[in-house]
Amino acid sequence: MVSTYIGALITLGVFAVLSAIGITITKDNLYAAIYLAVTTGLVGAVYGLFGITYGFVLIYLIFVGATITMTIVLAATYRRIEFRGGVGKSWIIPMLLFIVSIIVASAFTNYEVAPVTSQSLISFVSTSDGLLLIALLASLLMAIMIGLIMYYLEVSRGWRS
Amino acid sequence: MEVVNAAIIYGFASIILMIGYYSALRANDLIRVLISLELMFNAIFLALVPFFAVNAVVALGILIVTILSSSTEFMTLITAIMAMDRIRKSVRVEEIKAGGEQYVESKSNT
Repeated sequence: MVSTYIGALITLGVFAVLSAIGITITKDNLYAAIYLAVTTGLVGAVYGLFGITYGFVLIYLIFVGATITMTIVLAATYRRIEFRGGVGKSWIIPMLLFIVSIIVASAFTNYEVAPVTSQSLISFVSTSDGLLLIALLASLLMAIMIGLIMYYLEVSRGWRS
Repeated sequence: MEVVNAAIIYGFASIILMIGYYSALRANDLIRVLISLELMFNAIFLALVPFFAVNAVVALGILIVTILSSSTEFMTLITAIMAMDRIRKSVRVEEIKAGGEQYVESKSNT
């Protein structure tokens, strides 16, 4: 008898895998991006199921809210029917072997996961060290973004001339 | 408190990762490659869930770094794809093979 908690986890995982398969089989880039948003939302829901509030908020705000929205807009801009190429279909066999080996290897361990409370995370963010770490990461992101903007200006100089 | 075996989460994460790899290998335009990369990062986020039971604070730090680096990486790739479309007028994967100029020359010669 599967408990409600494990049943909810398995349901979320199955729907995430189904929408991930949708990314592979659909021919339109826009639908692939929308399926990607569904998959990411379900992965974020797993974080919510385990009570990891900060991870849930981060994934929904930054990943779904910013990155995947940009991807959907890009896919809508370059919307076209994709012609299949790349490797052959036989590559699915080593991938299935990898999945089976991961499941078997992790099933034989006694490593079990319990839902966490966000109490330790709240106490972490309320300290000055935690705030310093967040400020450091934000400034690191800004430094990378400045490099990106410089690259964009360098590239777009050729477009204007 | 309910306890879940980590094999369920790792199983789903490995399935999503392999679907991402397969989609990226079969893709023929760069937008689909970008979408597949984001799917792979989804698998990484899912595989990070059991780590929260071991050390929640360190796992949150790793999650923040992963999300920020992946977001920056995708913005870089989006800019590169747009730049490539302006220069080459195409977003096909063949356009960015190593030695792309030779590819274009050989295509124009034939």
